Amino acid sequence: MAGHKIKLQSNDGDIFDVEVEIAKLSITIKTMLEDLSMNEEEIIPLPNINSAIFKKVIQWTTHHKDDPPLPPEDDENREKNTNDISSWDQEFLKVDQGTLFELILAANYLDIKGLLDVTCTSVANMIKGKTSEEIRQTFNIKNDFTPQEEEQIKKENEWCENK
Amino acid sequence: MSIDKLPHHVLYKLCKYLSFNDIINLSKTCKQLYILIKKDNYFWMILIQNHFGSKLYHRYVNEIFQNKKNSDYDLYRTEEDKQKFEKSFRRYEGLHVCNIWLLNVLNGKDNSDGYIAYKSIIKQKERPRTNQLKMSLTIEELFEYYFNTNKYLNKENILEISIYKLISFYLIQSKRLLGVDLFAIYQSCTPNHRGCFNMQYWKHEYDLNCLIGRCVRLYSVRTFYLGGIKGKFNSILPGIYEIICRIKLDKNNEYLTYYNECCNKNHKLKKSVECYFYALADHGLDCECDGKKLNFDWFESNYLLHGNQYWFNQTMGYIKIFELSNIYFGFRTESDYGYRNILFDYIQLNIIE
Repeated sequence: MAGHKIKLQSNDGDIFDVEVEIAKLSITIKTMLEDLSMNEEEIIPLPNINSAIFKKVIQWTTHHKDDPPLPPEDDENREKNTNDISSWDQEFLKVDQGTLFELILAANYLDIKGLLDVTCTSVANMIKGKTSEEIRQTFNIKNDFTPQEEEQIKKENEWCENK
Repeated sequence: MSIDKLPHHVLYKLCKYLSFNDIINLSKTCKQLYILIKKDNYFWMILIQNHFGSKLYHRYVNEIFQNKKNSDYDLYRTEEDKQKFEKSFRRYEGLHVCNIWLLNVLNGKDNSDGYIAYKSIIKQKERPRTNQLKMSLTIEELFEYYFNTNKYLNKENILEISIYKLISFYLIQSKRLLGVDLFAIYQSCTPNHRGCFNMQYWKHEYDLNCLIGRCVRLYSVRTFYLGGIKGKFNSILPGIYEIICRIKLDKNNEYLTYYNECCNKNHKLKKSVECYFYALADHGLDCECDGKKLNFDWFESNYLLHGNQYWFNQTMGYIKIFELSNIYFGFRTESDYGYRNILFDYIQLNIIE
């Protein structure tokens, strides 16, 4: 039923009225609604997601609510065309890295395949073709290896890095 | 939240979108991420599943290691079979070994291995002793593959690596041979064969758009009838492979007059160009692509499509391998009177389901 709404609560206490059809893009919520036959008045808690991130998630799902359902994860569509991010999604993903990773976690928790795909793709594109040092700079990762350990790792991977 | 704080199961999902090298580079950034891939079988198993799908996952993670070796009897590889084939091989000793295209491709001048493999396959097709040949591999054979192909690995350090990482790397690694590294089929090949009338005939050419800037031109004129190129993939793991050749077509004006002369004498020759490809796995089956497909119409339609400018991938067929194998292959053009040439960049095996 279009327009029908349910209540979802983020971990910082805010309650969101969300259209059922949109909320159901999350397999986690869909399962809760159908499997546990939850009352429509009941508030569904989302203990892993804060309001700011949840707003982003709703924004994304609202925009994508009429997308044709993604084909199931099978062998034919396994190959990822990773540069494939629509311009709306690109704009949507212009956020700081912290938010991007929070979105990945939220998409993973809520089980929204399309959102997980696009966020992971976005991070993957930031990694592709870069050296370890460049990846560190991109994500501000602290190199916690000692020079000896680094030498060791270099040796361990020689076999698959040099032709 | 930062990348190195992501839970492992989320990182697994992320890695699905990355290539082998990207994953290695990511893992080398810090300890937290390095632990993820180091000796973690589970990680590499998931990666195989995600990159290659459940069929190949099943084949390379479970099946081939569980299947027992096929019996020599089923493969037509018993001592008795081999002696019989060896005996028929001896009929070709001398000039024939090089003069017969197939024997040349099978490296008949060096030994009878290729020929014996060929006969086993022919026999299996004629009178199969079983219809249950299975793909099978031992860990030792997998290691052997790496010892043969990778100078960094030895009996000690290979044990430090997750076996599924080794498999994953095999699946991802390109199995490719460059045209310029292949061998010309010609007959002045051993001291005994000095008198052969066929001379080495091929030409290496520079081409900016091929993989390393050099490729091989294949053509045939009457005296070079047996020509072509041949090569061998060593230690290929069981599986089904698509065989692809990256080629380009060219109408060679140097030979236009000669071609026209020949055609004037016999109009039928006008459309006579043909190519022939044959490959054979010594513990598997063979693959043939002949003039029924690679003929005048094939040449002209692809020439229309790609001209003499663009390289394209021509699928030669599929080859099935049951156990660790060498793959012999040869490719030639014939009856083109030097005019319709094939430029050859590389040959590649792609694993398929």
